[in-house]
Amino acid sequence: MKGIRAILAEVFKPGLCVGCGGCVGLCPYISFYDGKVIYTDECTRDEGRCYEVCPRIQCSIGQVDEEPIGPYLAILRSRARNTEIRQTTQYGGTITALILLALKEGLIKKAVLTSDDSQGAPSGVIAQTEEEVMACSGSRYVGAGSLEAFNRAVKEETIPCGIVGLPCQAESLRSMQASPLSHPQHKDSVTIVLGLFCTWSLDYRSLNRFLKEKNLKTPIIKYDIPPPPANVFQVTTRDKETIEFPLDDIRSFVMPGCAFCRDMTAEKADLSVGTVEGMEEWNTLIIRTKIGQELLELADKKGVLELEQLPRSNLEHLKEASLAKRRRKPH
Amino acid sequence: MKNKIGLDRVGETLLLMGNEAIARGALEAGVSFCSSYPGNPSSEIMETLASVARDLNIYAEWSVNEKVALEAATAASFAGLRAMVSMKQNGINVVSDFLVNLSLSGIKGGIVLVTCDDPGGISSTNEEDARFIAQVADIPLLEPAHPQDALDMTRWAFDLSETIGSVCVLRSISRISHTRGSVTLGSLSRKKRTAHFDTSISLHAFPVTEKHKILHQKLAKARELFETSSFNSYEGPPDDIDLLIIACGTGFLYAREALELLDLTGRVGLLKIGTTWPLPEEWLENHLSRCERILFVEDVDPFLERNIKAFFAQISPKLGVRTFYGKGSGHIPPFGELNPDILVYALARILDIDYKPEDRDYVNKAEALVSELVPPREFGFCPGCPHRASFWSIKNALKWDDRDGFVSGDIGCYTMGIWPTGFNQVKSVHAMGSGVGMASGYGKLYTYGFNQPVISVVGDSTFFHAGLPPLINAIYNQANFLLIILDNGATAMTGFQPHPGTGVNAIGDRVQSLDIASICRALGVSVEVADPYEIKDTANTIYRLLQERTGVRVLIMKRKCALVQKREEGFPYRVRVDEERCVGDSCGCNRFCTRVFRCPGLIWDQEKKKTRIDEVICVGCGVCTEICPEGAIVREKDNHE
Amino acid sequence: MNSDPLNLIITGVGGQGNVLASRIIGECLIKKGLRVTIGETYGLSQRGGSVMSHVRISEKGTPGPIIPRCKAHVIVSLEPIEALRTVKIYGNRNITMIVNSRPVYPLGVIAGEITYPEPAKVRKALEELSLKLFWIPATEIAIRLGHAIMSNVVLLGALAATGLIPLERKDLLEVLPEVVPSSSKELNVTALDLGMEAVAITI
Ligand SMILES: Cc1cc2nc3c(=O)[nH]c(=O)nc-3n(C[C@H](O)[C@H](O)[C@H](O)COP(=O)(O)OP(=O)(O)OC[C@H]3O[C@@H](n4cnc5c(N)ncnc54)[C@H](O)[C@@H]3O)c2cc1C
Ligand code: SF4
Ligand code: SF4
Repeated sequence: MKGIRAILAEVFKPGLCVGCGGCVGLCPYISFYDGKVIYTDECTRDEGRCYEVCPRIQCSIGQVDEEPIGPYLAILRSRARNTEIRQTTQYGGTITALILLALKEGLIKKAVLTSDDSQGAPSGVIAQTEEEVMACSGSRYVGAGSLEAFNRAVKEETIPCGIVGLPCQAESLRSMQASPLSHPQHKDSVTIVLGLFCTWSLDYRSLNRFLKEKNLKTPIIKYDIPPPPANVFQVTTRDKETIEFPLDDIRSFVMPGCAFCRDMTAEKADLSVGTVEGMEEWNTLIIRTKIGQELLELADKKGVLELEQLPRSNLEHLKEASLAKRRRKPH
Repeated sequence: MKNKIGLDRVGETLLLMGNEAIARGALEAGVSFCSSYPGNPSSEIMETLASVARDLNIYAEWSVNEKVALEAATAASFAGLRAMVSMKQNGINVVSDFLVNLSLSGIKGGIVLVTCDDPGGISSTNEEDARFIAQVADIPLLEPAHPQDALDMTRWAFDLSETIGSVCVLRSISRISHTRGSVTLGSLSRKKRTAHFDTSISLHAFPVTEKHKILHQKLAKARELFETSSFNSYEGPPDDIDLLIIACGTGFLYAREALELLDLTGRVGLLKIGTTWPLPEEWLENHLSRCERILFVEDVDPFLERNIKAFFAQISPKLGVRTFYGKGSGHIPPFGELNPDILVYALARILDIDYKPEDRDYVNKAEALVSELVPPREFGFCPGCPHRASFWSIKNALKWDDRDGFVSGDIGCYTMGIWPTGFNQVKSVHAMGSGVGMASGYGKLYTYGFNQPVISVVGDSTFFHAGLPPLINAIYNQANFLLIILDNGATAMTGFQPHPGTGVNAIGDRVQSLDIASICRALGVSVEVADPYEIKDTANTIYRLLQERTGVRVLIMKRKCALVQKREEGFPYRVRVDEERCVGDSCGCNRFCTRVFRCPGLIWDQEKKKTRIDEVICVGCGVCTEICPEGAIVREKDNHE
Repeated sequence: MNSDPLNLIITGVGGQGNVLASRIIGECLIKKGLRVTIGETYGLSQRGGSVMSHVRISEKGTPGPIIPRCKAHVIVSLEPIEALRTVKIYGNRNITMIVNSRPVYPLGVIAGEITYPEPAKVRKALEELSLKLFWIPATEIAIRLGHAIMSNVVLLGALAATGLIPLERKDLLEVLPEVVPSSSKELNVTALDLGMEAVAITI
């Protein structure tokens, strides 16, 4: 076991932090500020939870010969039945609908989501009301440090939480649950993990500087990368204006740490959700665990989600894409 | 203690600090006008004079800097009054430009310029030997050896200055200025002077060569007076000595003591010289002929040593060969402060004596026990000091900013930002105001790929002293940096003297206070004000200002010096540690408050593995409550007091 | 006086009131017609560093401001390890030490980076290095009186009680009112007496 000095040497110094936020808020030495994880003071401990939870260190996924999308019970396509929800969500609103359901049914007391702070930087959110959950819908294609909100939510006591996160964040949560150093209230609070598919994510500060140079002042409420061959990056501002940039302009903002990630489909989640190529109104949904399955059955029973078979071609495509990420070589 | 310095009690012996003795000497000489800029070890001279100024009807001011202090004092001299200007060694560099011109123009009323040097840099950033100025400006130099000498010399220096028409330099050092000794008073001057500038003459340096020639005539006159001065003396056997020591300043007392310790008073002669520039050549020649071996003793540079050697080169055909010992020969170090032991060992070496101050066993045992048991003491900001809180926010903002930014430091308590107490944030420190000047330079390096944010920190007093010109320079030349003015409402480092921003003058009158924010705004820069104790808000503000990348931005961090606050109003809180909550050195804290924040009011209890508050030291500012990640440090309103 | 000059060192940490203590002694002695030199080392010492006053008493001359190595006769220390630090340089087999038992921790100790030696060990080391050690809980006594800062006056009382320097209770009573606020005069006299008592018990 190691501590922050090792993270410093192995992750921060080489610039590999992807801003999952798993280590943020466990101690006063690491903070998430203006979209970036920052190590502010020197900790001298030889072992620490920070090292235990860092997905750039505790990386168990990525054998090429495994199933390219990881273990699963079933794969479907899904979307929120409530079209109101779908107004603001990224695709089919599956995530938002499931979180609302879990809160409403009392499966979880708090949801750990991602939104923007008052300055427009991404940040973790502890949501409890419908309004709070809705405010977090849509994808921010940047490292958002949002696990910090989980650490904050359970600092004092065990609280059943539903956490929505990227593959690295799901990985971090599971490492945390497995670590002997973790506090019981952290381990016991992880109730449902909803994972998002992810190819890479961007460094917020670089992107923000770029957008500022392009004179975009109003906050971005949605980011998207339409399927190839579009080769563009879209942002939607609060005034509902959508602007496109060549994807190549954006690529240099991809966080270097993402190059080490072998997981596209959040294999450590209970349920993983992504896009369905060519069907903007739908999500791909992978059911991985019993917990995931039960939540889905409840959603079905309550009529919260529309569920359908995922077309074969989409599944093939998903596996290809996932395999491609596994084979990726860090430059 | 009432200040006895102003009492007219001739012949009474008081316990006076060297600086008080200098002040008394000036009063006995009938000084009318005193000016100074605070700086250790000189500050008490002005403080003493200011404390009696009203009663004795003299004028005393804290000037904005040393050069202005001398200029103002010169005005008094030109109008026929006696004036004294005091400063630490650094100040001599500041006055030098004016002084080299003033010496050419000459003066009217006597002016004594006191420099208090700081061998060993006990309270300075250097240990500069300021005596050079006497040679550069061609003016006489006097060096007392103890407080009584300091009084007598100061009094006489005014007569000398007036007689020859030149400024006279009196050089003290920490070991005189801050030494208390038995001092017998003379009588206070009763002479009343009125100020008037004689418009039939004009005082300036032209024609330069002619004035320079006159200056040398004045110096020759001083030399003549020095030949018979009672400040120079010889003690020891009248003839047949093995060594002659030539000493000035406290070196004279150390030499005397060393001779006694080594039982050499019958073999070695001791020449005390108080008039060190220009040299009393005939007097010296007489004594140099006593002996073939000569040892020089003086603090810090070989000033006397070189000048006497140079003089000896002229008379050596008459006197023959001499062996000189001192800094040149390596018997006395040309750096650091003198002490009696340096002298003892130099003498033992020269005269081949075996000296042991105490038996080896004892000394070895003491050394072993101390190295085993005694931990070092590092300097730190006082408990409750706003600077600790300010550097905390600066550190956080620079870290968050993540562009390898740094702090260009300046002179004051906050210089300690170079150490862990200021989280090692300050990366360079030189002279008054130079941190701002340097930031102005960094702020222009962007075209060479320099993209590190720079923060210049400067105190309120330093800002007035030398911070304004570089700020103007930076604005004019469009440099990019953040200027943080640490405004604690006092010249804290040197003992809380007032300055133009405090609304009080040297003698305690209420005066108009100059508002730093308004001054900066008038220069056309944006100014914000923050409270150092509000560490969260303030760090956010600094971060935001670092992000704005255009021009000079000014942030004033305003909070009274903790020592002043404690004395005047006290602090609002009672602070304690909730042991249940404190997680100590486990993962999640690792002694964050004691190890990183390092306020001396917080103590790491090795046994309990918890932090506790040292109730004797904690002042109750409550800042640490914001730092604890567990909320274990709690503050309650302190009602009693 | 057994020696001329008589060499006394008062040491401690900035803010403990050593300078005031040495000054009170100086004022007392000068009133008795003795010649005194007090060399003081402070600078940044207000800010946590060591402070030291060399008090030198003579019947005839002007002593220099620095005591030569190993030549102190008495050391009064407001802090245990400062006593050790000082005795290393100025101590000798015949020295007497009057030491406040209460530590002022260096920042490194507060920060947990270095340890402060066990008081018993410091005490033993001081005993080994001196002819006589008076180990006095001056801060505790002062805290009982309500003001930790009065520990310097407690030690002044102790010093007077030893009779090692020509300083008596009545001298101190004469000078104290000149230097302490009139409101705390009586408390200071109590502090003085408690200090004298502490020595009387040990002797
Ligand atoms: C950085 C990033 C990269 C992605 N890359 C891919 C991809 O390559 N292929 C693919 O199929 N899908 C990708 N997705 C997932 C996709 O964008 C949708 O989030 C997902 O399909 C769920 O859609 P939804 O309609 O249910 O979303 P919604 O109901 O709108 O819910 C979105 C949820 O995402 C959370 N969220 C938003 N931004 C972040 C963030 N930065 N970090 C963590 N959580 C966040 C919000 O809290 C919200 O709860 C990515 C998402 C992100 C954030
Ligand atoms: S990747 Fe996550 S856990 Fe690792 S350093 Fe970055 S924020 Fe911390
Ligand atoms: S309240 Fe905390 S920070 Fe302030 S003086 Fe006391 S211990 Fe130091």
